[in-house]
Amino acid sequence: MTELLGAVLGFVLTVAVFSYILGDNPLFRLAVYVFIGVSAGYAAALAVFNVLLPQLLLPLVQGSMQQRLFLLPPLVLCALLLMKVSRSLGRLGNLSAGFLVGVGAAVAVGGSVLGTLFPQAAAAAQVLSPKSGMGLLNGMVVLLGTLSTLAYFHFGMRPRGEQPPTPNPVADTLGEIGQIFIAVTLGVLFVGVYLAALAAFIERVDALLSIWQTLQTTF
Amino acid sequence: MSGESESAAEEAPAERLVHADTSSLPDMDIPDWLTGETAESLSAAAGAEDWLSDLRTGEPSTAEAPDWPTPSGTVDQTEDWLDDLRSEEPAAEEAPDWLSGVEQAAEAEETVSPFMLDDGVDVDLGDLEAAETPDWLADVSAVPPEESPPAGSEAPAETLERSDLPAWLQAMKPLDAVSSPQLLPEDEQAPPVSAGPLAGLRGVLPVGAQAVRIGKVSAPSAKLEISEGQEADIGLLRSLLDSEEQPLEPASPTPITSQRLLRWLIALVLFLAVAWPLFTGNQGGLLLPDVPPAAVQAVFRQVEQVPSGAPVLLAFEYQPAFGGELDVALRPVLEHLMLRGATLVTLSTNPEGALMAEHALRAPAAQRTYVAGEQYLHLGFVPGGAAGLAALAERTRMAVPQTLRGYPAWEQPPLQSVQSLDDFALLVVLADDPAVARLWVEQVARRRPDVPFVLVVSAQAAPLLEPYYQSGQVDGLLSGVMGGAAYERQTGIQGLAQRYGAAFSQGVLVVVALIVLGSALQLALTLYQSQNARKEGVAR
Repeated sequence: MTELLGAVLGFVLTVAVFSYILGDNPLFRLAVYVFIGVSAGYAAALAVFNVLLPQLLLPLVQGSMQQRLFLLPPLVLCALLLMKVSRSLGRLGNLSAGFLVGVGAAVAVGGSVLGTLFPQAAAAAQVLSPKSGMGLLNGMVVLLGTLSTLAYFHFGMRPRGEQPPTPNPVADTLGEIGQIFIAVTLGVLFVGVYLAALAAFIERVDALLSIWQTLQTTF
Repeated sequence: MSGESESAAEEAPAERLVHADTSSLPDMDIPDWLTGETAESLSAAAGAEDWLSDLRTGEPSTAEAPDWPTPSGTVDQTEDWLDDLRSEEPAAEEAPDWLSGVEQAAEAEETVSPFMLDDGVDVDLGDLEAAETPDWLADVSAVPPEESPPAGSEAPAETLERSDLPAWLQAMKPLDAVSSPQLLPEDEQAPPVSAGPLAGLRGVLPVGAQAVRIGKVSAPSAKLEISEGQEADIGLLRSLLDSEEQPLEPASPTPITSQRLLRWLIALVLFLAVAWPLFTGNQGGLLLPDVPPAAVQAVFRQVEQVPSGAPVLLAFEYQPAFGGELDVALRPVLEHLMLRGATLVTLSTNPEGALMAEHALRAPAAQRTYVAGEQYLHLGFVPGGAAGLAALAERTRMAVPQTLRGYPAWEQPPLQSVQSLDDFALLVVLADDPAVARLWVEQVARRRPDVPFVLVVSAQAAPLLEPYYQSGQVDGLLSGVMGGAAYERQTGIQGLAQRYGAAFSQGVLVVVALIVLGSALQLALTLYQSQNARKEGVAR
């Protein structure tokens, strides 16, 4: 019975979302609001029962003295972060916010440099030592794409005394080639977005058909 | 300085004003008004103040006494020092000589207000005229009172010598537009200030809306010397301002436009193309290469190398909106892992990911008779984003202390043998956002290079993650429904991915056909319009 109720609810909400083809309407908004509300409620409940209670509050009450001392700084930072709600006491939360931003930025920058920048630069350099003819062609295309895309974002000009500065013709030519690579990249990204949306559409159409068949067999 | 001068210097200023002995001064041009009766009048005006007379009597004037609040206590309860003050009478012998002189001069005159000097001083203008005055002052005094212009009006232009203004300044000189004739009457009609140091004065400070005048810019005076181009600019600016004030006419409602009709038509065609293979179950339209992509084969190989019973960590980093795609892509991988007998452990840095993990494992676990808590386990939400992932890579047990249900995580059977991430046989990250997948590569795969790491991602994230597979940072990459269908074909599993893949292929074909058809129609329309335009040009 519960599964049937869930199936009917899913059917109604799916039809409500599909009604957007007729334009913005209350049925579509209702479905969107329900989705946002359920997601936010689930996330809040999960944060309380999966993080705050078991990892902070309960150890403070039931844990050893060492655990309590270890959890004291997070508790103070949490309390200070809550001050952000108040206008008068909001400044007290800057310490926690600064700590969060600082740690997050340090971790992210370190990861980007060591986990993306260096390995990707090394991989781009390796295409210049191919093992076959096709590999050489592939490497040349990759090299041309990398250089021309970088050249497209080069906006420097050469000063020429009192005359107006002129752009570098080599960089300009490469930049025009880079435009093609950028356009192809954006096209591929758009195709990816479309394919993801099409997959979601197929799954919902299949769900509608399944629910319809279930309702037919039930009633 | 002489002795008389020194004695005069020791006198008080008021005394000096009143009793200055001008006989000792050299014979120079001192007007009469500075001596004699005029000096006495000035001394009276300067010295005979009310407050000074109060000082003389030692009692404040009752007329000007402030309305102090009545004390609640009796007179007897007042302080002693106040009584002393009240009983103090300025003794005549204690008063300095200069003050006695002031008193004598002030008593002779009537009391005047400090701000009524002009009315109280009786200046004999006849003496002033007779005295030796400067020429300019003589001209002023010669003007009869009845001929003097009223206050506030402009002085006659004839009395002022016209200066030669430069041409550019003459051109900028507005004749009528500069003056603000409304200002003066409004100032005179303005209510007097009721309190403060400006009490009684009118129009000193702008009040309320008079201070800020908002409205149209007045038309330039006809006498302002401007060029025709400037006049045209002014007209253009005025027309722009006028058009801003004109209300826009509401757009007439269009019941159903051709574009909306076209949209419905496209949706109907797409729906039929997708629904037909799903409804009939026909997979003839599935467009898959005979050989799966290398990235999919790499995922297959990594799963094949998982020992039976070994723990595999699955990170569900996608939102419910992408569940329709990623659940289908993940399903064959999950079934393959279950066939291998792997122990599955799930977690997520996204709160909704925990929900998606439960949803994704429910059906295959029931099909393969996997038992929760023994063969698979949900660890739930890992907070902290990038920092949380770094902590997970470095201190796994500390980062995830408990399961989604609140049990101690590392006491559960699937994790009893796990001390760190190195003990997992495989890391599988499911992501809809390339940024999140990149975080896993940067924070976890970089720190644990010995653990096999594969990605199962949405089709929209695949192009941005492909370089990580090409560089070897990721050991396998599977994207979208078609990736799942290829994996099913590789493993020989008949599942949803191939079923959806047929509909997916039909949908892509229809969309490609629509794009080609639309482009051809647009091209034909453009050619037709250009031909018509050319014919019209020839006819003219």
